[in-house]
Amino acid sequence: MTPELMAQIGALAPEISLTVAIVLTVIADLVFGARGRNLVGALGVAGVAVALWHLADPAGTHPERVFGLLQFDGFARFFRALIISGTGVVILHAVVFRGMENVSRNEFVPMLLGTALGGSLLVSTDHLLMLLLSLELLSLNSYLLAGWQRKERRSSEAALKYLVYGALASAIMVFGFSLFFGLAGDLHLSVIGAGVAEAWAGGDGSRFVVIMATALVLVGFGFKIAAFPFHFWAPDVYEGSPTPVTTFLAVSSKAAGFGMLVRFVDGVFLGDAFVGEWMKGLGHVIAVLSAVTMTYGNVTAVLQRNVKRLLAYSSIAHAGYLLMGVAVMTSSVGVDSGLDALMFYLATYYLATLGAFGCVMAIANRFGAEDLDDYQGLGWSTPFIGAMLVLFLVSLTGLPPTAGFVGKLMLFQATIDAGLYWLAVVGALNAVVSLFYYFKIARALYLRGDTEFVAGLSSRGIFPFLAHASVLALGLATVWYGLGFDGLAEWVRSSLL
Amino acid sequence: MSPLAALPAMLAAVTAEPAVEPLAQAATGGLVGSLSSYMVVSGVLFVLGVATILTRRNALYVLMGTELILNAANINFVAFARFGGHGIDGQMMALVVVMLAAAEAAVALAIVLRIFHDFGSIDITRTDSLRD
Repeated sequence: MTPELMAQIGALAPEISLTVAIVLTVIADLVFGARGRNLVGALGVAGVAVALWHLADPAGTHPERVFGLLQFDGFARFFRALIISGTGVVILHAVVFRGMENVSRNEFVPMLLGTALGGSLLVSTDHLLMLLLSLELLSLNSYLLAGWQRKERRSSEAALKYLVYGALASAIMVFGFSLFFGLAGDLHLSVIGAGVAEAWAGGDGSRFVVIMATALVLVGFGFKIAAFPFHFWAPDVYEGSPTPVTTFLAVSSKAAGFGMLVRFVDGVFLGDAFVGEWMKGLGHVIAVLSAVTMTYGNVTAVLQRNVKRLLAYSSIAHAGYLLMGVAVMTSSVGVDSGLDALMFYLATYYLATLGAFGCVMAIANRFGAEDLDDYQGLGWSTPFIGAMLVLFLVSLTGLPPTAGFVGKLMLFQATIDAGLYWLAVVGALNAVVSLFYYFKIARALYLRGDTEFVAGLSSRGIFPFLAHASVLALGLATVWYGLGFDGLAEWVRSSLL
Repeated sequence: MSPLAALPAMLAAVTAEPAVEPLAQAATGGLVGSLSSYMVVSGVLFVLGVATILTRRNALYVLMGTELILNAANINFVAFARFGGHGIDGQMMALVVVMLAAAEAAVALAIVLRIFHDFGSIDITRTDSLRD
């Protein structure tokens, strides 16, 4: 093998670590069976840790360009870090999750690692073939994970709905890819961008094809990030899936979807050849989608009684906020301003959502409660989890002193700089609406019902301890980046496309 | 003369080289017709797929509809690659899509079996234990 080839393989070290962990967990399951539950979990977490260690490799000796298909730049590193570390926390949750006690968790861990592998390749690629392969690696595993609770009808139903809508969305997206291929004659995003710009200048007929291809591809992306009007699967799937899977879908899968969307929009539509009316039109469409998505998510969330379903609508609303960043990217102030705000907001959303679902799962483990009515007074019974949940909800609302406040501030600032005043106003009004339903949870936790103090953790052992520790770490990070956000902002700024 | 005796002649007529101009055939490497005829076929397949999904409530029919859409895309990829003279990118993409469709079918059948076991039906409007 040539040294260049070795260097390119070296750049894939995080993905190779995940693959090795997949193989090892499968072997451990075959050898130890149900007894190897903790071992499989530990191997999964170790694989994630090794992958993150390779990702953090500061030497920077690896080439950015790998096999002509993958672009391992700072942008890819940022999103891979979010996706892979999010998966690690989800594995910790899955091992302690009570709802999966009757089903095998040993196959669960390798499949979850497979989704992380798919997501990490997805945000790194700028070639349609690789994009499709990694997207399906992410999706097909997710469909199966959603239906993991064998004894639970709702879990099967979640899997079916996710599968049917997901297969449809990705098929429509592939048809859109085929039109883009026809326009440009190549599968690299940058070449497609040049081809699309040429086709746009070519007259009404080819303009129609450009618009149609863009619309078809946006269906697939909109589905993955659960943006209106392709959001309808999200509430059912989030509610029916096992809570660790819901966490994965809300955090890692959504981050992967946004990474893919941003790279595609940047590569195809924001090249040097492309300016003018077309960008303006696309920017308007994305801005309107953003406003409708956040309003729909927030208003519908107010009506929910099931906490997982409520957080599903809240995650739809946050997809709307994140789309504000994409709308700014397509505006005249430039890509960097919008992308900066989007990535910072995504990091704060990641911290708060991962933590909030961790608390929801801890409460479900301990009290079997998933509905708001059953949450009454639980904050007094489990002070640590209750306080943490309130902290994460404060961050999701966007109030100081949490990271969510800084994220919203930067996002609204970028939107105003881009001249999208109406979108900033809609976003601010939405934050007020979200305050209402997030504090419905907090009120149920503390202001009602009987108070009965239960001391100590719900169960002993290293994994419950680690799961609690991860919640604490996420809470500390939420406050830390709310008070001193320079470090995070610096990392984001060095990771722009 | 018995009907069977005419069969070899009929087969020979069917399998004979289609009558196309030699020049066009050389340019497209044996692929007959024009790009627009392939586009028409793929467009019809796409519409049929969408219509199947919109009108059928059986989960298997809905999944077959998505397969039709994927095959419409495949025809596009291969036709664009052949007529555009862009190398084999399109053919590779089509092969990958075929493989992904097979993987998706395996996952889909497993999930549909579970649904039949849990709900006694694979009608997607009957699975409604999750709703607002």
